[in-house]
Amino acid sequence: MGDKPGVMENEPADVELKKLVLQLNYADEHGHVVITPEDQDRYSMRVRTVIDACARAAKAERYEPQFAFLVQRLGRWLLDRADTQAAFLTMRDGRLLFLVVRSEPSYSREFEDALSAFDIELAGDTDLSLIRVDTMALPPASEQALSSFLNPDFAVALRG
Amino acid sequence: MASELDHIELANRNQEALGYLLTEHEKYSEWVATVAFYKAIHVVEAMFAAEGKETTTSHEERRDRLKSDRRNQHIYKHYRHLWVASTVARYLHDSEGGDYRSFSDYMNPDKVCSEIVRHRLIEVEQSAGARLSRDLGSKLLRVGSP
Repeated sequence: MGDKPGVMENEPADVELKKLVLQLNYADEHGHVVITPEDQDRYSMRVRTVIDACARAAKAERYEPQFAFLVQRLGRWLLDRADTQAAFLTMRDGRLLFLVVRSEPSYSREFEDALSAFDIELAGDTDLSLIRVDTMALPPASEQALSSFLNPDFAVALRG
Repeated sequence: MASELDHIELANRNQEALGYLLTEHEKYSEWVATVAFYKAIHVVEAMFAAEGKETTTSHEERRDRLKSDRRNQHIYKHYRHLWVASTVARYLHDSEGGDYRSFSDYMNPDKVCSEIVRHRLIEVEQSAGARLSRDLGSKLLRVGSP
């Protein structure tokens, strides 16, 4: 035996590589993969399921920095708006919502136009290519009234 | 999938309801804002159908398509006001609130008519209506149509 566990001495390099790199080919989607976790409680999954899970994990890895960038951008936008009372990033109808609570109850054309322009900017930002976010401004209602707009499982308070 | 004509007819039904509500806009301003938004939805969907695009299946998908395509962004700038106003009208009521208690604190009935109907909805109608097919576009009842 060589230094590395499971690798025979004098084994050709390509054979060694094949042992380190497991290939899952989508063409084999109906095949199965046997997975042996640390506790040795083996289970089997379809190749297609494993490939989909890998794709989701790869996307999640790229999503995280984009999400952090989004939070920064929202915070920067709030810095310029003294007419806001609170702001949240939450989920509504299955997607992110930048929810701004204004200081004044009455509709402001200027504020809504600025928020529309920002919304369009976010949609076109290539650094946010994986993120879909809507924007909405609400008048300053009570916490109870506003709570119907905030997802109880995901609502982050933002500050400029 | 609904056709361009289907969406124009649905927009027209909303226009008829809107005309009725506008005669009592002080009493039903929430519904004026809501019906104006639903009319805008059908005008936008008619435009998508006229251009050979699939109509959208959700509010979220429609907003995405409007805001992410440069040709549609002018429409989105006005459509978004309709969406937000109708959302406040339908979902935000605060009987024990302070500065805000009901929709009229956000937008008084006259403002609903001038801003939501006569400005935002007309902008959507004009921009999206100009992209309807020639033969069907004339069937769209517009704000102020007799």
